[in-house]
This record gives sequence, structure tokens and C-alpha cells, in this order.
Amino acid sequence: MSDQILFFYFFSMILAGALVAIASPSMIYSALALLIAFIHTAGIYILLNAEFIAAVQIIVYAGAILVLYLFVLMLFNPKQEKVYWHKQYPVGIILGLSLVALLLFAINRPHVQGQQGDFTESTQSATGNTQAIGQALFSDYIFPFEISSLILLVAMLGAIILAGRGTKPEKS
Amino acid sequence: MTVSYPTLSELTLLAPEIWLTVSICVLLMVDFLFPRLSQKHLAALSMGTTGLIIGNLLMLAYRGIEGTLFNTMFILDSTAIFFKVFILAATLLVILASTDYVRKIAYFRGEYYILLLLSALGMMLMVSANDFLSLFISVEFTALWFYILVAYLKEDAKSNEAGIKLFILSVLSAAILAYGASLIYVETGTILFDEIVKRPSQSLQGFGMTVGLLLIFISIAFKMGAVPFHAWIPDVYEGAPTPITAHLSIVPKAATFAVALRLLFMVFAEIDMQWPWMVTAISLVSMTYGNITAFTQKDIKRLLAYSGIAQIGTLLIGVATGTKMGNDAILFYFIAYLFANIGAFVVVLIYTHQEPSGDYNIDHFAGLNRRSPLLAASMLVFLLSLAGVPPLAGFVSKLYIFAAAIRQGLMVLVAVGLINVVIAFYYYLVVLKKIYVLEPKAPAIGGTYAAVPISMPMKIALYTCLAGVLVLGIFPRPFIELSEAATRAVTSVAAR
Repeated sequence: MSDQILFFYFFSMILAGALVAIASPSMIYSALALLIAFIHTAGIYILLNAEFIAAVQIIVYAGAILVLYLFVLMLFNPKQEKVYWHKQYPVGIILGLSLVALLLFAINRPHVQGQQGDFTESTQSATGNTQAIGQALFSDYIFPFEISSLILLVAMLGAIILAGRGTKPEKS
Repeated sequence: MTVSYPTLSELTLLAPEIWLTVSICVLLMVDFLFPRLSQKHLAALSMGTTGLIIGNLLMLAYRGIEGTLFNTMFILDSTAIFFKVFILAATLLVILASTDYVRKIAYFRGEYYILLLLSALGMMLMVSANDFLSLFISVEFTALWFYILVAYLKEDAKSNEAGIKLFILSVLSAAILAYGASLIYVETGTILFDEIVKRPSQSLQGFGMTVGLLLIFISIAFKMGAVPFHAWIPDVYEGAPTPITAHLSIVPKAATFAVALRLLFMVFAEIDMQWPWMVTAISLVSMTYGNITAFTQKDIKRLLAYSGIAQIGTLLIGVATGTKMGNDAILFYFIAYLFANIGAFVVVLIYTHQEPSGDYNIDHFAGLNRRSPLLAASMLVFLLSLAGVPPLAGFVSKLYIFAAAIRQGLMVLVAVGLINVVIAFYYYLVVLKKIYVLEPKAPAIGGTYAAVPISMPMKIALYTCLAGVLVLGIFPRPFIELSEAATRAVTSVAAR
């Protein structure tokens, strides 16, 4: 019962946060509302017994990414925008409704039994969620994991090239 | 729980990628440690590396080494080897063609080559991806490099605009890909392609499967630049540095086709879906839209962009046939398209190199024949090959793909395709008319026009492309056999 109450609390806060984020005329308020949505999403993860992902959500999204957003917003110092109706509003409504329809369909369908993996609920409760993720990352998913480490190299070089000022090289 | 790490001998399958990663790191350090090393040496080093890795791949192909690694997440088969060699060879040509251009870039010249090599690495991983997670990650890996490469000219507003456009639209298509993959995961309970193939086909008829496949297909069509997902192509091609435009116009397309062939013919081959109709529709629209819009273009890069959209439409005819012959035709078409397309960009690069303005207007090419008969003749060969004139490579590849379609009775596709060949002739000939008939704008000094200087690397690139177009057109047989051998892997499951 307390689970359900918590779920509805988190759920309604996420919804409210997301609504304020897109509807607020001030971009700073939008970013702060997004922060509320992020933190409450972490709460939902905890309800699902995914403590590790909840921690990552708080550290990466609510921490790093949001601070970055706020920095950018404060550097640009955007003006208060008037709420206005964009010309493509009807298209947005149609796309949004079709997405809702798809999600409703997904909710309504009977429970899907996927392939039974190595990391069952019992394994998780025996070893702990974080450890199970670590094991999966470094055994079954080592290949994508290694590729993503290369992506970090990409991101670093890219940031230096695009944002760095650079000096004129002497070489020809 | 079974954890199986690959042994050293099994890692042979991954050797090209490992060597490429190691050499990229070494090149990065060399560039950093020896700042006075000229960018020409760096280019030579990168090209040498690429050549060695092509050799490694050819050795793997010769010894017939195939297989999967990492719980079947990585696959090396004949198709993957073909596309990897293709990607590396194209990267080699692009590096060769960039050597002059890089001198115009003010900052970070060394990193330019490293970026090109890393994009090749990303695409090599992409054609070998055998599950949705690796596919998604390697597609993103590749895309990330292109954002940077496209926006490389930091002082050029157009380049920055192109980078941002590519970034926003690519991120959207990545989200669509991830969403589609998640729907397929809901239906099948696995992300591994090999597991999906093993599922009984009755269990794969769900609505989620249809929508998931549709979304994945949209994402793939976006990467190919097929109509109606082409909106990014002209602006990005126009704004990007010209060698990168040449690279973008062919190499990621080939990698995406490799993914499409793997998905449609290996993974979802057993599913009775209506995807051939979808491909047919996209092919028809792409050919027609690309060719008709190319009519009105004043900028040579935009013209080649729209003609590229039309070429993608023609390539999709091969997918729509759903046969092995169609796939062979696609692979052959890519080899022919590589030389003709990069060749055309090489001519543009050489000709515009002297002009600081970065003016790519077609009128600018007026009277090229008076200034440099070699460049004019090369452009003639490349554009006629793109249009499909015998005895050039483009003719054989178009003939092959239409023959595959006729065998499947796809008469509408063939008819529209042939009409489009005629339309395409018009705008290619408009460019050629300007080159051959008109007088140069710059005044003649003492009765002769200033010659266009061609540096050594550009000359090599130009002659390689010319040789490729001519050899493929006159002796296509060995290359057709090569394509036939290469598609063995993807079509063995479908075997229709």
C-alpha cells in the first residue's frame, strides 16, 4: 500500500515537473522543474529495486547534466519568452497523441515473458543489484561496453576541437 | 552463469578493429609529441595504417576466417569483410584527397586524419554489430564523429549550421532506433540477432514487432538519406568541408546498407512482413524527388547531394527485389559509385582549391576545358558514369540492378528507374556543357587561360578514381564475382 502511495506521489511529481518544464516562460524555472522530474524518476527506480540506476540518475542527470544546463542558461541570460502558439502545433498534437496511443497499447498487452537471462531476481537479491550490473557489464556486454569507452575518447576530442581556441600551428 | 571471454586466437576476428584502435592512439600521441611533424607525414602514416588493415582483412578473407565473438554480439562474415574493406578503401581515398584541403584549416590539422580513421573504426564496428545494443552504440559512435567533422571549419557559419542540423536530426533518428529496438525486445525478449533468428516465425507477428521494425527502418532510411527522411542532406553536404562531403556521401551510406541487409535478409528474413513494398515506395520517391530537385541546383555540392539521394533510391531497388542477385547488384553498385562519386568531388576539390572564397557555384566551372583538359575530361567520365553511360562503371551497375528487378517482375520500379536515368542525364549534361562549351570567366592572359595546378596526392586520387571507373566498366566480371561471394553470408538464411 505504501508502495502505491509513493508511486503516485513520484508519478504525479514527474508529470507536474515535466509540464512546468515545457510550459514555464522562464528557462531557469524550466530547468529547475526538470530537476524535480529527474529526482522523482530516481524515486521510481528505487521502487523498482534498481538502486544503482537510481544513484546514477541522481548523480548524472540531476547532478551533472542539470548543472550544465543551468550554467549555459545563465551564461546566455535568455529573455523571458512569451508563451506563443507555434505554427506546427497541430503536427505536435498528432504526434503526441499517436505516441500516447502506442504507450496505451503497450500497457494493455498481456505480460511479456522474455528469455530467462542469467540475472534473475534471486541472483540479484543474492549478490545485490550493483554487483549484478557490474557482472553483466564486464561479461555479457563487454563488447558494447568497450565501444562506449571509445565514444568517451570521441567526446573528449570533439569537445577540444569544437570548443578549444587552438593556436595556429607552425607546421605546414 | 557462464562467462566466456574470447581467447587470443579467437580475437583474430577482431584484429582489424584492435589494430586500428591501437594505431589511432599511436597517431594521436605522435601528433602530440612531434608538433613540428608536417601534416603530410601524418596523412602518409594514416594511409599506411589503413593500407595495412586492409591487408589484414584480405588475409582473413583469404583464410576464410569467419565467426562470432562476445556471445554472438560481434560477427565477422564475408559481407562484413567486404564492407570493411570498402570503408577502409574509401577512407584511404578521402585522406588522399584531403591533403590539400587540410592546409586551409586553421586549427587542429592532425586531428582531422585521426577523426577520419575513427569514423572508419565506428563504421567497421557497425557492419559487424550482431545485436541491437552494439548496433545502437556503434551507430552513435559513427554519428558523433560526423558532427565534429562536418562542423570542422569553425569560422565558417555554414559549416557550423550544418553541424548543428546534422546533430539535432541524428539524435532524433537515434532515439527512433532505440525505441524501435526496445519494441522488438518486448516482442522477442532478446537483443541478440542470432536469438531472434531462432525464434519461431509465428511468435514474431505481433504489433510491437511491426512498429519496431518500422521505426528501425525509418532510422536506417534517415542515415541513408532516402526521401522522405532526406531533409538534412543538402544543407549538411553544402556546409561540410568538401572532403568530408565526399566521405559522407558514400561511406556511411555503405555501412548503413550493410546494416539494412543484415537486418532485412538475416534477422527478419523469416517474418512475413510487407517490407518490400515499403522499400519499393521509398525507392520510387527517392529517385524521382532527388533527380527532379537536382535540376534547379546552382551549387555543385548541392547538385551532387540531390543526385546522391537519387542514387540511394536506385540502390534501394536492389533491396526491394529481396533476392541474392539484388544484393550482389547493391554491392557492385557501391564499388562503382565509390569511384565515380569521390572522383567528382576530387575534381571539385582540385578546381576550387585556389579560390579562397569557397565558391561552389556551377557557373564557376564554365570553361574548365580551356584551363585544364585533364580535369574536364575526368569530370566528364565521372558524371557520365554517375548518369550510367556505357562503357563506364555506372552503366554496368545500373544494368545489373535493373536486371535483378526485372527477374523479380518489378516492372514499375524498372520503368520509373529508367525514366529517372533520362532525367539525371539532363542535369549532368548541363554541368558538362558549361565545362566544355562556355568560355572561362577569368580573362585570358596572352591568349591562354591560367592552368589549374594539381598537386601530387590529388593527381594520384584522380587517376585512381578514373582507373576504377574505367576498369569496373570494361572488366566488371571479377568484381561481380566478388560481390556474389560477399553476399553469401546475408542471404544464406533467406535463400529465396
